[in-house]
Order: sequence, then C-alpha cells, then structure tokens
Amino acid sequence: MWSHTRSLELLVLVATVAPAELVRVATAFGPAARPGADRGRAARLGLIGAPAAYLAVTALAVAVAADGGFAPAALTGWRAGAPWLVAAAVVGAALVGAEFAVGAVPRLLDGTGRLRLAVHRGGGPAGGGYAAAILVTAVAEELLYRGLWIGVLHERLRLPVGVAVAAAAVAYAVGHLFFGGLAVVQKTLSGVVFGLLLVVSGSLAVPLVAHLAQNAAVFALAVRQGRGERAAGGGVSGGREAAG
Amino acid sequence: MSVPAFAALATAVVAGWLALYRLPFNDPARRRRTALWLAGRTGLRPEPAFAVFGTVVYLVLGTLALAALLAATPLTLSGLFGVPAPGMLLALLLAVFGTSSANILCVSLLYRADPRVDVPGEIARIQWIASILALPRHYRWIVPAVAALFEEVLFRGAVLLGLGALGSGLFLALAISTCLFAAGQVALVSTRVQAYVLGTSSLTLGVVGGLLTAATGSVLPALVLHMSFAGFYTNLSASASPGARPATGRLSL
Repeated sequence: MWSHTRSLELLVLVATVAPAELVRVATAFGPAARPGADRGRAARLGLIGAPAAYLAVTALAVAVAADGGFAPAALTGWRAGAPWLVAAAVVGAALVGAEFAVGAVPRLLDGTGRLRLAVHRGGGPAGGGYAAAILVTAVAEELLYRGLWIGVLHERLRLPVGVAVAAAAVAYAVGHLFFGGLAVVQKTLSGVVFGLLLVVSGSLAVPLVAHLAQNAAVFALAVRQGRGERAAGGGVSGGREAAG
Repeated sequence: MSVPAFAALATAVVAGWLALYRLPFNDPARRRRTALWLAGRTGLRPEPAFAVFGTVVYLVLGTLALAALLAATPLTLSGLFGVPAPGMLLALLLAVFGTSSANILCVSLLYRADPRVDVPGEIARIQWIASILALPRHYRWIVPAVAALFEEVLFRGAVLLGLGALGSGLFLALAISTCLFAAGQVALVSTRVQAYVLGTSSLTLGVVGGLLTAATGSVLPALVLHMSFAGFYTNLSASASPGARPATGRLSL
C-alpha cells in the first residue's frame, strides 16, 4: 500500500521536534507551571533532564533509521581535514557574537534599558554539570538535526538542500523555546550556519566542532558572568545567548 | 468505492456518531434525569452510572460507525491487527516520546501566550474526562483504554488504512484521518482552551499514530501509543489542583 520506509522516515522527523520539552512533563502541567512556582527547581531539572531527553530521542531515532535501512550519508560521513575543523571552531565562536547581536536588536529598537550581555545558565552555577549538559546536548543535536534531519529531508525525501537546511534549523531552534521566543530566532541562525557547514564540508564533524566551540565560548562567558554576579550581588539583563 | 466518496462517507459517519452521542444529552436537566433513572435501576451512584452509560452509548455508536466504514473497504477487522516486526518497538518508543514532547510544546506555547491558564483544570472539566473522574480510581483507566481502542480501529484502521486500500496517497489519507479524529475530539469540549489542548494533542496523535499504522499496516502500535497518552491525560486530570476538580454532585457525560 504505502512505503514502510517512507512512513518511518516521516515518523523520525515528526517525533524528534523539541525533545527537551519532555522535561516539562513534571512541570508544564502541574503546579510548577503556575506563577510564583519554584522556577529554580524546574531549571535544575532541565540541566539533567534536557540532555537526557536529547540523548534518548536521538539514540532512538538513529536506531530506527539504522533498523529501517535509511541512515543517510549525512549521518555517517565524519572525515574532515584539520583546516575545516579550525575554520569550524572559528565560525562557532563567532556565532556567539552573532547570536548576541540578534538578541540585542529588540532592545536597540525599543530603546529601553542599558545593553548588557548575558548567557542563559539554567539557573545554576556554571560548573562541571553545566559543561557536561551542553556538551552532551550539542552532540545529540548535531546527530539529530544536521545528520538525520538534513540527510532524510535532502537524500531520502529529495527536498532541495536549502529547504532541508532551513527546515532542520527551525526544528533545532524550536527545541530552545525553553529559553524564550528570542532564543528560537537566535538558534535558527546558528542552525542554518551549522547546516551549511555540513553541506559544504560533507562531514558531520565540522558542524559538531563549530557547535562545541560555540558552547565552549558560552561556558567561558557563563563562568565570567557567575563571578560578576557574585561580586555585584545581582543579576544581569540584555542580549542573552543560550548554549545548546 | 472511490477515494473522494469514501472520504465523504467517513466524514458523514463520524459526524453522525458524535452527533448521536452528544446531542441527546447536551441538556443538563436531561442528563440529571437519566442519571437518576439509571441509579434507580442499577443501585450505583448517579455519576458513575451515567459515566458507564455514556461510555456504552459511545461504543455502541462507534461499533455501528466502524461496521459501516469497513463494509465500504476491502479490509477486514482482524486484518487491522497484524503483529508488527519486533524492530517496530523502537519506532513505537520514539513515537511515545515524540507525541509527548510535541504535545507539551503546544501546551508550553499556550502558557507563553497566557501564563494564568489552568491546563490541568481545563482538562478535568471536559465532560467525558469529568465523567471518568466520577468512577472509582481503579476503574478510571478502562474508559480511556476502551475509547482509545475504538478510536484507533476506526480512525487509523478503517479510515486511514481504508483510504490506502482504495488507492489514496499517504499524505491525503493522513490528513483526512487526522482531521476527522481531531474534529471529533474538539466536538466534545466546551471552551477554547480545551479545544486547543485536545485539538493539538489529537493532531499530534493522529499524525504520529497514522505514520506508525502506515509503516506497519497494523493499528496495534498506534493503539499502544494512544492508550499511554490517554492514561497520561486521565491521571493528569485526577491530579489537578483541588479548585479544578468537578464540583461534587455535578453530572457530566
């Protein structure tokens, strides 16, 4: 009647949008979602739960693709020369600045407040747990949205590569709704750049290195921001940037 | 039968099923009278007696709808229950995660639009869910499980696979079966928030369950997915805040 493989390809795409929302099973429906609830607890839950959800969903999606015989070349191609990897690290670090710029636009437009830059840290200190969380999430996101999504959309469903890159970027960005609507716009930009790196280099290692470099820069900023907050005894606001 | 003719038949049958189920008991006074009559005949309290009655009416009408649709296709009832390959367990697990995360994403968007909205309370006030909450705690899962069985056999089995057997493309069959399923769910609610939550969740369930059914040719994986989902919602409603619980003595269908 219909192609078994085609149905599974579509299932893998539909079922992998915003895995981090699974964490909210415990919070979105219950009292923790209401005004005045303990937001810190939800944030701490997200620090462990979000990477775990990304890992579980990515592992399942890759297993379904492998079992169904449609693991795309974008997921399995990893060879890349040192120049590509160095360039990827530079692009990844530069993306932090680009995301800050996107985050600053609304404040510049409405002219409210002094522009200060900050990173989302999930409500906790920028320690080893935070570093592990953003490392694991970055690996899972690259496997899922660049390897699997772009591969399935372009190689299997025969969509133009630009459409595949854009669709994968939006799917990746929606997973950051956790951090607010602006973060979705910022991450769409990063998702497009990571997708283009994959398409141009032909290696999943290149967007992965860029993503890791971006998260490393965010981690360094989070450590610095944590020191500043302790010294000032307060929070910061402005163009924010999220790791992940 | 042609695909457009079967799509029209499916729309008419589903509309008739839900209209016959919903309209006679839309009037609260008539619901109360029926519940008291049932309580007098069965010895049960009025609320659970009416909940059981409502479920039986839903299922009897659903059986008639299913028979009418299957008769118009080359499918058999037993043919809808093929046993999928063991590898499909991975796809089922992915579908459970995917349906939950997409559904929570939709609720998160709702909270973003209106942080004061009380989603658990709204769900608990949906009439058929409120009627389930009138049942003893250990029997509450039976109603959503049986309703899930009927809805999967009808929407993913008779409608989706029926359209496929008549030569429809996958996307058209997914769209028709999912829209009919979601429209049926939305027809049973009474507020905008309820319509949004049930509408988005049934669209998600329809697409993901439909893809599972299309991949396996069986309604069994989608049935497991739907049952887990329905069970989640029922327990969620039961754990809603005290203010969200249906008022004691209120009768609902």
